[in-house]
Amino acid sequence: MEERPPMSPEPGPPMYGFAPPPPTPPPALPVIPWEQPGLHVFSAFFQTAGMLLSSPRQSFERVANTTRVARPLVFGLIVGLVGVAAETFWNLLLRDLLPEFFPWADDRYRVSQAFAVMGAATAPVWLPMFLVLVAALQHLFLFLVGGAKRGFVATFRVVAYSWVTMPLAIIPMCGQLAGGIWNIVLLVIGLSAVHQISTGRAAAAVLLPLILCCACVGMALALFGAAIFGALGAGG
Amino acid sequence: MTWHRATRDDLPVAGLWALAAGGAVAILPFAPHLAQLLPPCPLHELTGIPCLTCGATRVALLLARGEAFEALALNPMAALGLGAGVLCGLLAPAWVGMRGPLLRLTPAPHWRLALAVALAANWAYLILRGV
Repeated sequence: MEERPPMSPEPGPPMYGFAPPPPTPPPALPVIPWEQPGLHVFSAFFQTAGMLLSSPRQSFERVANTTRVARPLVFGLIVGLVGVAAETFWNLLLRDLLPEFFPWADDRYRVSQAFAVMGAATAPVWLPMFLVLVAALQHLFLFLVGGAKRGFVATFRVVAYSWVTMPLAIIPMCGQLAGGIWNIVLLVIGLSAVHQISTGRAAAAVLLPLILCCACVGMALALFGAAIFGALGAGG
Repeated sequence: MTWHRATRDDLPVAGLWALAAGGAVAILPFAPHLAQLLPPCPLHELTGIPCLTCGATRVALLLARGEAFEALALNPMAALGLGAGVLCGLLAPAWVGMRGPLLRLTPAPHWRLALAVALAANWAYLILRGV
């Protein structure tokens, strides 16, 4: 005679086998507001920007997993244009102070006002190209460290949303530096979350091009920081 | 490495690539002026050693003037990347529309090694050539 399983003391459905009931899958997280259709564009933009800055990992985990690129592209362009405009404004306003902060910088580091304005005015044309170029380089290095678990679009989304720090250039002098460092942090977190790789591997993919490709950028940031701290020290 | 026929899912990336390539073509008349916005490479200025992307701006300007061989001689990887990137980008939507074959590279160790060797060789070339 076949034995029946012991009765459960708790009320519930009768058990006729030994396999436990399948666990209920956790509810899927909604995508970030900027990628939700039907939301008001301003509300979605500011909600997304706030989420990316305050809780980046949760935000990047909620980035949509589709091949569509229009929404992240538009987001990147909006924040990028704000950043370029702010940077140009402060560069024009403070350009006479440049020799005091960077005594080593000769005239080659000084851009004429006309060229600076032209660069900002043509930003809507070159900014999408720059965004794609940065994403392509980032994906190349992600491939190099074996972290490209998902396609180029995933990397593009992370790069576009990580530009949320560019408007920090509104803060004079140190805004660009702070935004640049924060951008690196967001890139590491975003690539780790979206490609589902370790933080160390994502950091290697982000820092490798900065060290190899753009050692110049890293050195410029270091010199910029040193100049600011030097000036602060001299002032205090 | 696998080949597959292009599908509708590949169209957004092709469009994005074409947008970037179109932007590059659109700013060609302003390229010499925009290049002046870029500061010199501090690594090269301070140490005399070129970084991996040193010469890329000059490569872009040479390509804009149609001097492909000079660009290739200056920084081969930058010239190939920028040249092929713009040309292929302009053709990408049509290629995907015709359902042409597309290459998909998996991050296998031998491909990663090949990429690392190519980057190192290009950098060594820049240092030896004194770019």
